[in-house]
Order: sequence, then C-alpha cells, then structure tokens
Amino acid sequence: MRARRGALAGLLLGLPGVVAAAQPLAAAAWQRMRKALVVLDYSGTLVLRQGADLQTLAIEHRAGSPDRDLLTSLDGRTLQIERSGTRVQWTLAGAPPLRLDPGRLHTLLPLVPDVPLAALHSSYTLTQQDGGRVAARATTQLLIQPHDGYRYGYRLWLDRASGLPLRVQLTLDGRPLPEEFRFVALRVGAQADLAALGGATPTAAATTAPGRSAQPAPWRVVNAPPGFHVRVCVSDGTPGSEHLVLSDGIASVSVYVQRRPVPLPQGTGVRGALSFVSEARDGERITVLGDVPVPTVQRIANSVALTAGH
Amino acid sequence: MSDTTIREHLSALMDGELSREQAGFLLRRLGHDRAAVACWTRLHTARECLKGGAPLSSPGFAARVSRALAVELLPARGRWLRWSAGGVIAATVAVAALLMVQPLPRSEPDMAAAGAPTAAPAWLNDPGAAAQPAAAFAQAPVAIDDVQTAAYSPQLDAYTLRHYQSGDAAEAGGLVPYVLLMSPPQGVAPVRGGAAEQR
Repeated sequence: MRARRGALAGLLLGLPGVVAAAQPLAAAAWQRMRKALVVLDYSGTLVLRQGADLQTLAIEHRAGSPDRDLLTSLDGRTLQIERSGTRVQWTLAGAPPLRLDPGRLHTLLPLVPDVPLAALHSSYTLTQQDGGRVAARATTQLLIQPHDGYRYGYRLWLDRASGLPLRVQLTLDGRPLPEEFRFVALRVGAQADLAALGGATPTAAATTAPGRSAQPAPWRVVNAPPGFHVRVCVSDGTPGSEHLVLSDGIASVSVYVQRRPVPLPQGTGVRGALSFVSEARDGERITVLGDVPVPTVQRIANSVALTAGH
Repeated sequence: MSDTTIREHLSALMDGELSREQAGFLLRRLGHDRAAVACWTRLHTARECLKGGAPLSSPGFAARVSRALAVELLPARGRWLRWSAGGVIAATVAVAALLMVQPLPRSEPDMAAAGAPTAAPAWLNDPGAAAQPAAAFAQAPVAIDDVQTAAYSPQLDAYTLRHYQSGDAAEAGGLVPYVLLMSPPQGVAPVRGGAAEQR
C-alpha cells in the first residue's frame, strides 16, 4: 500500500515535467512533418470534407529537385493541380489552365499549415498525444491550439512511421469544424508515378502573381485582433484599389479597398473555413476575407481607416 | 454505357432506386469492371465520411474479395457454372461493399467528448448549411447571428485566389487553396509587378 502511494506521489510530482516535455516533442513532430512532406515519395487517396461537400482526391509526390506534386480529383469534373517546385498549374477539364507562382514551396495537401515553428509561438500552443489509427497506420496527434477565438486551431494526425499528415482537421474553441481531409490509403517510399494519373498537358496558361506596391498604402487597420499585423501591401495595378494582407503567422486575412463599383454582394458570410465581409463605406467598397472565424473579419473590416494625409 | 451513366446507376443502386433488371446488369458488370468497382467503393467511402464515420476498409477491398472468390470458384466445371460463378462474384462484391460500410462506433476519441466546450458560436450553428446538397451549398445564405448576411458568389473567387497567393507573399502558412477553387477563377487579370514593401 505504501509503495502504491509512493508511486502515485511520484507520478503526480513528475506530471508537470511530462507536460513541459510535451511541447518540445510536439515541436519535433512539427519539424518532422514539414521535412517528410518534401523528402519522401508518397502517393495515396484522400477524402476532403468542406461542410456538406465531399471530394475524393489522389495525390502523388515525388521528392527531388525540384520536388513535384500532382493532385487529381476523382469525382465530378476532372481537376488536376500540378506543382513543380514553386510553380503550380491548375487545370479544370474544359477550362484553360492557370499557372500560378506563389514564390515558395508548399505541399498540395489541403489544410496543412506549412509554416516554420517560430511562426507558431506567439499565438498558438503545440501539444501532442496518441492519435489512434488512420488509413491503417498508427498516428500521433498534434494539437495546435490558438490562444483566443480570433483564429482556428488544427488537429493533425501524423503517421508515426513517416511523419506525414494523414488527417487534418480545423477546430474553433476546441470543437471540430466540418473542414478536414483524411487519407484512406497511403503508400510511402515507393517512387510516385505522376504519369499514371495522366498529368495535364501544359498549354497556354495565364500567370497570376501578385505584385507589391511601391507606394505607402493610404489605408491601414487600426484595431486588428491580437497577433495580426499587416505584412504586405499588394498592388493589382488598378488605381484606387488597395490590397492589404494581415497575418499571425498561420492565418492570413486580406483587405481589399476599392473606389469603384464592384459586383459583389454586401454582407457577411462563410464558405467552409473562409469568412468574408463586404461593405460600402464612404464611397469605398471594403472586402475582407480569410480562413479565420467571422468575428475576425468583422473586426478587421471595422478597423480599416484612411491614413493621415490621404 | 458511359462512365457518367455507370456512375449515376451506381449511385441509384446505392439508394435502392434501380430497377431489378438494371441492378442485375450492373451487378454482373461489377464482376469484371475494375473501374466500376473502384467507383462503387469511392461512393461508399464518401457516404461513410459524410456520416462522420471512418472508412472501414482500404480502396481495392472489393476487388480483392472478387479475386479471392474467383480463385476459389473458377475451377468449377462447365460453362454454366462459370456464368453462375460470375453472378455470385458480382453479388458478393456488392454484399461485401454494403457490409463494409455499416456504421461502427468510432474508435478514436472525439473532440466534443474529450471535455471540449459545449457552446459553439451561434454563427456556426446553421443546421441548414449542413443539410444542403453540395451543389447548393455555395449559393445558400448562411445565418450568422443577426448580422447582415451574404452568400459566397463566384465573383469572390478572384479575391480568394489573390488572397491565397498574397498569403504566401506575406509568409503566412495558411491553407493550400487551389483544390478549393472548383470553378475557373474569373476576372483574375495578370498583375504587374512592383517593388516590395514589407512593414
């Protein structure tokens, strides 16, 4: 009996140490996942859920220089998204392909927040726990919990063997949102066969790449939610049109201010994890959107103000 | 029969809306058409996920059952027996597919059951949104408290696309957006470059 009490006391005394140790373990799991997404060959089938909408997708990833992804929808109209390094080609059957160049490497797996660990610390807490099985593979669950309600959290089920994310789910106030993807089958290590899925034939493609304004923006956000800061001002070259981007490291929000009539519905809405507000104010149309909760876009929209001197 | 027709018939078969004659034809086809079996499996996987349960078997399960049965049954003598074996295979594939999507208790811990707060923001509690068909989801207005609401319109696609691209420029991780844009982005004019301004 005495020994049992001693063991219990030891367990209780050791608990804070265990909790404190969870953070470095979670950080290591995060780093391992980011590396695995780049250096491993993998292919598989996954289901993406967005609200009531479900899509079945196939993904192929081939490591290399540059590494390549091919994501193909298996339902409905054929959609193929091919990435080679930082270049992305988006092709929907019956529509001209669109070539994008975001300028940085990013997996095509949906809903995976791919940021350096340092970007998480100010607004999120990382912990990990056992995750059970996903796609017949043992997982570790990584929890990325925000410090407030102005941003979503993430639950990631990471493959114990490879570190790859097998399932990702968005959360709000600790509750799961109907936004997630999960693998139903995954092969790791085999040389991915990009040709097997019938990659899109590159044709004349439109390229869209945002430029950044050289001029100071006449608009600013005076009362952004904690942790959100204006990172860039992006210009589309149209006079009287401003695009500010705020971010907390993971979540980003765009603010568009336009001095011309635009065919957008006014009001507040959501589509999946995306929230948006569009309203007319003093002859300007202000549109705010991002993968954040509604109160975040509302607060930012209410905070847009003209910079002194304009 | 085109792929689209087969897919529609498989969907109808799942819903029990196919005539007996059509069902028999389709089940015979499932005995030898691997693409149809894969489609059948995907439909069940998607339906299972929609119900919130985990997929209960890996893709190809139905095909493996079919092959295993074929190995056992094909040595049987006589052409009539081969025909009936084909029918048995098709029926077994169908039954196996039906059995493997029976809902089971979820084995993994559920977030709501793990002591999470029970009160969700009111703007999330929109039962209508979850019940709507996927096609209508984008057009339906979403109730968000008593504030003014708006439906997502295709005109927002251009803003959304530009937002995600600039998210990368802002070195924000965010979510990969490309798969979310299921309609061709409209009005995304080529953008002139310019000097960077970081703040």
